[in-house]
Formats: sequence, structure tokens, C-alpha cells
Amino acid sequence: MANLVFELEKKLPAIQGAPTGVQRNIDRMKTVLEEAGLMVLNPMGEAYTETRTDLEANITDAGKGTLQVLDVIKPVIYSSKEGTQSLLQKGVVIAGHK
Amino acid sequence: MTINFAIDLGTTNSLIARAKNGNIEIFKNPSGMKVTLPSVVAFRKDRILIGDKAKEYIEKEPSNVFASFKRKMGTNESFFVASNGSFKTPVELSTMILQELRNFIFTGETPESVIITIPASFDTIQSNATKEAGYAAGFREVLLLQEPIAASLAFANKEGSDAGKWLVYDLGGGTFDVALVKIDEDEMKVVDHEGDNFFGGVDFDHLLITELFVPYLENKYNIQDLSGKMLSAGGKYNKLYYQLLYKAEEAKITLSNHSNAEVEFDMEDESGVSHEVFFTIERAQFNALIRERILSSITFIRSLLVRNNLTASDITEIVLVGGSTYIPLVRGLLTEELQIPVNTSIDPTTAVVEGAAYYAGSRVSRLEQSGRGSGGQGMGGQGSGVQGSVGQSADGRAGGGQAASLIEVKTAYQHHSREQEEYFAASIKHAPAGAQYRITRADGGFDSGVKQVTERISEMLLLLPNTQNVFYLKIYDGQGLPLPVAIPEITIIQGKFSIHGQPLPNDICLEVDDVENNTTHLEVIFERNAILPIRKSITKTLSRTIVKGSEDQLLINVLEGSRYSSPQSNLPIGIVSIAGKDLAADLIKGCDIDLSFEISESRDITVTAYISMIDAEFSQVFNPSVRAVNLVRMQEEADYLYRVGKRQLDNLLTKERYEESAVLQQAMDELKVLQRKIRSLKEDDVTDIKYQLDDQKRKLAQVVAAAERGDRMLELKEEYFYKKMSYESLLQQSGDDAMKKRLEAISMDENEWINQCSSQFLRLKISEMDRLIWNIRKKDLGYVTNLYLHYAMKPDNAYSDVRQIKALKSRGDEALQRKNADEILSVIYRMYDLLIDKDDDEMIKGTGLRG
Repeated sequence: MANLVFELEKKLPAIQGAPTGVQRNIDRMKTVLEEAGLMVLNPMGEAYTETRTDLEANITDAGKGTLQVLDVIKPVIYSSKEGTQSLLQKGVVIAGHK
Repeated sequence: MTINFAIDLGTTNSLIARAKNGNIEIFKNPSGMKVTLPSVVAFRKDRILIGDKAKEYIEKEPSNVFASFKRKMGTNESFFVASNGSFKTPVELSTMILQELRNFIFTGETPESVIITIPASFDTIQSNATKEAGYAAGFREVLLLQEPIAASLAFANKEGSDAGKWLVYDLGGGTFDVALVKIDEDEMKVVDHEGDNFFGGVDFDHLLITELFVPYLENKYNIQDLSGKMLSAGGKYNKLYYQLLYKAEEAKITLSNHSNAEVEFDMEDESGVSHEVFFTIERAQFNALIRERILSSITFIRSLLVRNNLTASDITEIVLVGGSTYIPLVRGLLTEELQIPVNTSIDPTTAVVEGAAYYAGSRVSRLEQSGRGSGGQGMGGQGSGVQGSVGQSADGRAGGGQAASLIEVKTAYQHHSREQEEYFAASIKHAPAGAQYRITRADGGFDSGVKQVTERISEMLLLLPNTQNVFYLKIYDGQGLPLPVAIPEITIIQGKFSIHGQPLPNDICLEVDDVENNTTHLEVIFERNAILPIRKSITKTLSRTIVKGSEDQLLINVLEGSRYSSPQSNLPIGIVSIAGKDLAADLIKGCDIDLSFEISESRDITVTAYISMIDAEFSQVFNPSVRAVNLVRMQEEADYLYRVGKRQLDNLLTKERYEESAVLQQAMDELKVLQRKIRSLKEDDVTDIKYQLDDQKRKLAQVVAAAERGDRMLELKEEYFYKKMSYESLLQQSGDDAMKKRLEAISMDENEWINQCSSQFLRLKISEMDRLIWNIRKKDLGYVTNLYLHYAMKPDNAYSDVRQIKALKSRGDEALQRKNADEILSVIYRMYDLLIDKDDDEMIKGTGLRG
């Protein structure tokens, strides 16, 4: 469910003339997920390093310099129980140079 | 003592498991929680990565990343590591994988004996090389077991097979093996084997891309040579290639369980226009692509049988191993072509390690036999008691404990951070030569990889937002074995808990209706001490219909003060009123309203209400220096307080408690004046008077509440405790644990609120308990009958419609005879609706938001 909500949100900007209520519905779904103890993170645009075990990266080119998350196929999901987080789903991303 | 631990040291993936009391537990990678560890090692600039992270760099830095080194075991071949100019042997790389697998053991055990599986094709030199890797990884006893035997053990333990010949068909991600196994005189052995080191599931993914995805995209978006463009360095479609690889694998897995798979992704065409691509792949299409490859694997089996003078009828079954054997066509073709039944009773991914663990669970350790400890404890694992001063040893193998006792570690870092990553530094003194360290985050989202210890180390620690991040720093000796050095956890609080943020001095609450008790109560939005800025969204339903054009209003009343007090005695800090006259349509009872509350660091409060039914948003920002007072609401509250106070005053006078009544009497006089003043105030008054009146109202509310507390509260408390006790015993009898837990949750933190809460709050708690118990009682015919009789005994004129109540009573009497609890209940509900006097004396007009 968290993945579907993420995908919906990702597609929303591309839909021209989408009613504003859609974003509200998505926000509400995200709130429900948060209350159920799921933290969904979108690493889009963040720096990528080899220490990020929260991400499963496909690295696109052999260039030099800091790698960046260029696309997010699946978001990172942590589950939270009694204040302690644990990684539930690694984010699937494409990393490369901008 | 049995060996218990087993490792499947695979070409593509490795696993570790343990046998305990006949059950097998497969350990998961603490980072990512997968049971499989890719058998890949990467040497980055200053750190070593093992497993998933290493695999990511295979294509980017092939000269520093090593995979499939199992195939080179026992050869003189060494791998040149370009990043540091060193050479690594296959044994050394395998050692790293084995050590990494040891880290999966979350129980803190440090096994000294292990079973490691090897392919049937391994000769003595290759087998010895595997043993060598095992010893180097810190095991003192290493026993080898052939993979097909291990898989056979896994299925034999499930199926109880004890004789015959069978085939173990192992098709993994990148390799294929088939082995002929037989049991002869109670001994299970591999008779012959065959394999292809360059055939596996990855080939199927590539076939999907080249034969289906690419032609579809080329055709649909008019792209020439998409394959070439995807694979050329720095090409426009590089990103698409990786996206397709992922989608192909996903589709392949889906097609193992479904007849078709939907593929969905975004891409840009040659002219830069973005498209949402969506198409379906049928299993038949996928089968057509991979058929030839699978048939060629069957050719291997045929030649194996011919070589051993066997026919298919000599084979009892085929045992499947490896993730690619989930594919239905693999299973189907094997049965169809060879006419041999396929056994699918074991999990192909874990079969080898499971079987090896069964074996480990039955093999007695030689170390134990020779009188030495098997090392279940010690060596600084969790629970080994290595707390206290840094560097203390908790025993262990030769050298480890002693070396560790000398190590001094001092750490330095910010305990609070508002950054996404935080700088960490430590000084490590007296570490043995070649010592290594590793920092991991407790939730599995960060791993520094293995790094060389120097006197000063540093690392940028990646932080999870708005939470407490816990990291562990561990030190290993030159062989990669953990040194029992007690280093305190590294704890960094990110974001909202930052010391820079201001805590809220009081609870921030929303006033909502308590429909059953005809009153309102407070619902906490933000708890006291929460750190600003803060935001929260909630959804409420309307408790009554607000008619378009009417004077009625829906109130979103945000108050500051204890959540246990009454709404009237808390400070109003933001109120949004949505009046009937401002509405374009009626707001129907039961419709949803999304509320979001946001408090900035400067304590500005933004309240936003969105009503989906009429697609309208109402938003208002309240400044802390400007109080929010709604005159209509203040008037309703003053009237309500007067009614409650009057009732209480009469009560006190009847009981001749003159001293207390004098205080209340004075408050009532003041309330009368206050009511007059509020009524005379104009809605658009710009003076401070309304704030002064609100202050007075709150003070008087406290006097009324105090008068109630001494008397009414006593009754309510008695009712609360009595009901709690009787409900507890009722639930005890019913044995419903879930309900018991819910009752406990209602009375949670009771000591904190019982002596300071308002009557509304206590009534709310009682109602919550009543509602909970009602779910049990409404099924109890005796209880329902008594309840009906209670209402039926009331005279007809106590109800608003005499004709209807007569009809209901006659229906109720009939339902009583039928002993139908549900039917009696429905009559009771209707009767209650018609009841005129529902103890509405203390009623206050609600906010319109259901609590």
C-alpha cells in the first residue's frame, strides 16, 4: 500500500488539471500509514554513497564526483514500533551524475 | 554438543542457518533483513563493502569488485585490487563472505564449528581451499557437505525418503548444476553431476528486455537502436536500462504466480517528451522466450543419465534448488520431457542451507568431544556482559580478549543534529596491527563497510529524520574477528528533538463533542513538551448537520492547557468558525472534515479545514500575541457554566454545605454579570474587552469545576472505579484478552489524571469503558431484556410520540418471547430516540466535530 501511495504521488505532477483534492487524499493515506507505524521516505535528489544500506542502487555511469539519486523506483520504508525503527523495505533507486 | 551452524557459500548468494531443537532458523542480514547475502566483495577507496552494496558497484568499478570467485577456489589465481594495488585470493574473498555471514547471527552466539556446503564438482584442492576460508573466518572446526546432498537432506527430512535415486536440479541467478544422488546402504551420495557456469535467472531477465521490452518501446516511440543507446556509456537511455532490468526481474517473479504481469514505468522519447509506459506480458510470451534455454539444461540431464546407464524411470524424483526453479515452465518442462515427478516441497532458495543445518544439528562437534568449549558464549557478543570500562575483555580465543583489553576508544560527535548527516570522530589507541572497524546504524539503513583502524578515525553518519539514531562501532582484529571492546552506543537525535527547537509548555487540544453525554471534551493534538515546529493532520466527522444559510456554526476550537481540564477553563488560541450563512450547501452530519494543525517555531498556529463534501477549504493563521475569541462561543460557554454551576449550587444548599456554596454563589453572581456583558458586546468590537471577559470566564470555569470536583467528581470517580472493577471481572470471565487490553488502555496513566481531570474527561473515560463492555453485553439476552424492561416501564408520555412508543412496546414484547437479543436491541434504540428527558440539563451546544 505504501508503495502504491508513493507511486500515485510521483505521477500526480504529470497529470495536468488534476483536482487539488487528489493530493489531499494522498496526504490522508500517508497519515494513515504513519499512524500504522510506517515511515515512507523519498530519497529523490539526495546524495548517494556506498554507506547507504537503506538504498538498493543501480549506478548508471562511470563518471566521477558525488553520486545522486536520479530516480526512485521504490521508496524507503521503515517500520516503527515502540519508538524503534527498523528498515522494512530498501529504496530501489537509480544513482548517477546529474 | 552438536555443530548446529551451517553456511551455504554460494557462487551468487550465501546464507547462514542454525539448527535448534530440530527446527531450522535462517539468519537475516541486519541491514535489509534478507536471508541472502550476495557473494560479492568491493574494495572502495578506504573501505570494504560486502554483499548488496558491493554488488551495486560491479558495473561501475569492475576492477575493484569481485564476484563468482567461488569458481576460482583452489586455483593460484589472484585478483588485483586496483583501488589499493593489493592482490586478493579467492580464499581471502570467501573468508570475508563467511565473516559477514557471522554478523547475521543476532543471538550473540559465536560458533566455533560450522558446516559449509560445496558444489558436487569441487575436487580435494577446492574443498581444502573452502576449509581454509572457514578457518580464516574464525571457525576452529569446518566440515564440508556437498550442495546436492544438503538439498536432498532438506527434502528427505520433510518427505521421509529413505531409498532410491533422484536428481537435484539447481538453477540459480547465474549458475546451473544438476546432480544424481542416491541412497545406498543408508549412505547418501552424489553419483555424478553436470553443470553450466554461465546460465541462470539473469539470462531470463535479459531475454525479456531484448526480446520484448526493447522492440515494444522502439516501435511505439519510434526509437532506433534502443539497446545500443541504453548500453553505451553516458548514453541517453542509461537510466532506462537499469529501470528495465528491475522491471524485468519483477515481471519474471510475478509470472511465476500469475498468468500475466503488468509492466509500468515512465520514460522520455527521443524528443524529450515524457511517457507513462504501461503494457502487459502474458506468461505464454515469457515461456516462449526461455523455452530453448531450459530445454538445453534438460539435455545436460539426459547426457548425465546416459552416462550412468540410467533411464528416466530409474529416477524417483527431481528436487528443485535455486530461485529460478520457481518458474512454472522449468517445473513443467522437466516433468513433460523427462516424465519424472518434480518435488516442490522445499523452498528452492534456502534448501541447501536448511539441509546443511539439519546435518549440523546431528553432527557432534569434535571440539566438544576433546573437552573444549564450543564457544556458544563469550567473545563480546550481545549479552556477554561486556559493559563498563572501555577495553574490558570478556574472554575469548587466544589473543582476542587480551588485545581488546588494551584498546582505548574515545568518541566525539554532536548528540543532536539538524543535518541529514553528522560528523563522527574517534581516537583508537593500542589496537592490534591490521585491526579494522565498522559502524552500523541500528535500524539497518547505514553501514560504513569494513575500514582500517588508524589512531584517528572519522565518518559521516547518515541520519534518519526526526528520530533518535543509534549507531554501533565495532572493532575487529586483522583476521576480521570481532574484538570484545565495549564501546557505548553512538546516539544522535535528528531534527525535531533538536535542542534548538522550543518545547510546548502545555498540551494543545481540540474541543470536540461528546454526543452521548451532551457535552464537549478535549482531544489532544500536540502533547506538552513536543518540539516546535510541529504539524499534524486528523480527520473528524460532523456530529450534526449545519444547514446552509442558518445561524449555526461549525467550530474548530484550539485550546492550550491540560488535556484533562474542561474546554471552558483552557486558553483559546485559535478558533475557526464555519457559519451556515457562509455555506454554499448544507453540511450533512457524518461527513468527513480533514483538519491540519501547524505550529511554527514562533508559535503561529495555522488551522486548515477541508470539507471534501463541498470541496471547500478554510484556513486561518493565529498569532500568539493576538488571542482568538469567538463571541458566540463565549456566550454559549458562559450559559453552560451557569447551568452547571446552578445545579451544583442547589445541590450544595440541599446538603447544607453553606461554606462551599458561598464561594460558588459569588461565582454565579459574577457569571450573571459576565453573561450580560458578553451579550452587550458587538461582534466587531475592537477593544480588549472580549479578552478580559474570556479571562474572567476561564477563572469562573475553574471555580465551577472546583465545586464540582469536590462533589460531582466524587460521584464520578466512584462510578469510574466501580465500573472499571466490575468490567475487569466481567472480562476475566469472558477470557477475551483483546478486550482486556483495550480496557487497560482506557485506564492507562490513571494516576496522572485521576485527581486533576475535569468531569467531562472522567465522563469520557466512563463512556469509553461503557462502549467497550456494551459489545459484550449486547449479546447477553438477560442484560438486553432488563434494559428493555427499564424503558418499557416508563410511562408513554415520557416519550415524544405516544402512538409510536405503543407500537414499539408491543413489538418489544413479542421479541422478548422470541428471545431474540438483536431484535430487542433494535426496539431499545428506537425507544431511546423517542425519550424526551435524556438528562440534558447540562447540555452545551457542541462544536459540530464528533469526538
